Amino acid sequence: MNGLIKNNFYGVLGNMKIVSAFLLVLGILQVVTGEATILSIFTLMAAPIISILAISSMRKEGASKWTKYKLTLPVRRRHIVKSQYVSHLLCSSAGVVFATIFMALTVLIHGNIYFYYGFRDAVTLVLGGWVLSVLMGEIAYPLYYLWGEEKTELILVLSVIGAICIIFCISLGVNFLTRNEGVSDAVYYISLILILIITAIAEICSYVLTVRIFESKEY
Amino acid sequence: MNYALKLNNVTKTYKGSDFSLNKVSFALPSGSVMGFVGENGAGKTTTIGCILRTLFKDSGTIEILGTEMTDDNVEIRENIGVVYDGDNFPGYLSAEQLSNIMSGIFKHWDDTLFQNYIKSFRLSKKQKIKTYSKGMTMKLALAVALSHHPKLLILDEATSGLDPVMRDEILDVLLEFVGDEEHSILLSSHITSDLEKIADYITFIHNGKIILTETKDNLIYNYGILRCKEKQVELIEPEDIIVYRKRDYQTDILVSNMNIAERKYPGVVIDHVTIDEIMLMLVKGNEI
Repeated sequence: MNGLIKNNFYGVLGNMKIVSAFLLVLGILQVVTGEATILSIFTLMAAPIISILAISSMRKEGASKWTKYKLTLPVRRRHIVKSQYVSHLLCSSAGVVFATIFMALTVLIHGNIYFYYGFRDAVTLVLGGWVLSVLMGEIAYPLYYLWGEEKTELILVLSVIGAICIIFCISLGVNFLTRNEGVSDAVYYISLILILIITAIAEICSYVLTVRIFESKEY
Repeated sequence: MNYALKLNNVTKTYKGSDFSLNKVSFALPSGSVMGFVGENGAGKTTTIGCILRTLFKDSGTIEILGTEMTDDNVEIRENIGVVYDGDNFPGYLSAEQLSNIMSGIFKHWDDTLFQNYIKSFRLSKKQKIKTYSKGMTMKLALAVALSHHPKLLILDEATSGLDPVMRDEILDVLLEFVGDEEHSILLSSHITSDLEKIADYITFIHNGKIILTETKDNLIYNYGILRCKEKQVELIEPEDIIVYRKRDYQTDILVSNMNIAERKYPGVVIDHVTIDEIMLMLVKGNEI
């Protein structure tokens, strides 16, 4: 498992340098200008952008016989899948760390001119990016093993659209339940926990489904 | 006798394809090298896929080091080294990174041994695999396959596409590996000259069916081809004929004991036979 995660890390490393540089420039721009739009976009998108690297690195593996070769190594198929989910979560979390650091720096320098509800708005943005990123993985990995690496671009597009749709549906649901009235902190945090629980359950279901698909796949 | 690998009536069919593995059976004794020979599409890679469980057999049994391998049985895979033809590893890795990955996968990964192979194969540790030549990638794959001290090495067309010098270097490493009595090799190839150098046993596969398994020495020293003129063909007893192949003015007949045939059919020209010729006869010839 350790070796598999290292493998996934090397897979994202090449593109990570370019993406990190891009995020760094964007983050510095956000800190310097204090622009609210950049802060929203950057905080929400950092995690999904990095996690896209984890998904797209599988295509690079597919260019060689590595996927087939891994099956001959002393690892179970479900461990290969698990390593991908773990790597994806690590990438998503790295994005969250990135976003949080630059958000904190921006608020420190320019003051809290961004969040009407204060801390909880900040949490919404950061966790929103993380949930979006995790949902993308939950959609992408089963599709990857079902359709193969040659459809990686389509899978990426579907995973982004799918994750946005799910978040949109959850938001609609929360709005419906709270009847678009002001949400108290208690209701807000309960909703947040519910969203995280839904994401976690979806993660487990996605993992089980991917393992099932992969265990019947021939190479 | 202990067997490193034993296949018994293995079958495998593909949806939408006429090709199938048809009750494939053979056994590789421990401490020996088996050449697995067949033309392109004969079923070599499918058989190896079934052995390594990258493909799922429909029926039959496959024992590796005495045990039927399942996905959960990772211990067996600790003892297997695999080399596929072409790119075994992603191009973005370097040999150093690959060693780092393998050390987290194999319990008995021997980094010192790996570094020795890298040095003796004159490979660069830091260079990305995508910039390696084909020979270099095959050497790297062999180094990886050997550096966790496997007992069974499975090579699928690993020497194809390499120049004779490179092939010779790789065959030397394989010979060194099999010097240990516990080590065995299954080497699939259609380059029969390689197998003549190192194999103890040769197994021929054609159209998904095993058509012959023999010791290499028996094939080379005892098998022969009778070059019969038209009238001489009638003299040959059917039980002596493995396969025959009609040419313009002669018929070639493959026999399993050329000494007996020499005494039995004194007027007929008998030639020693190469593995290549046997393969051609078995694939293109006819049975009685």
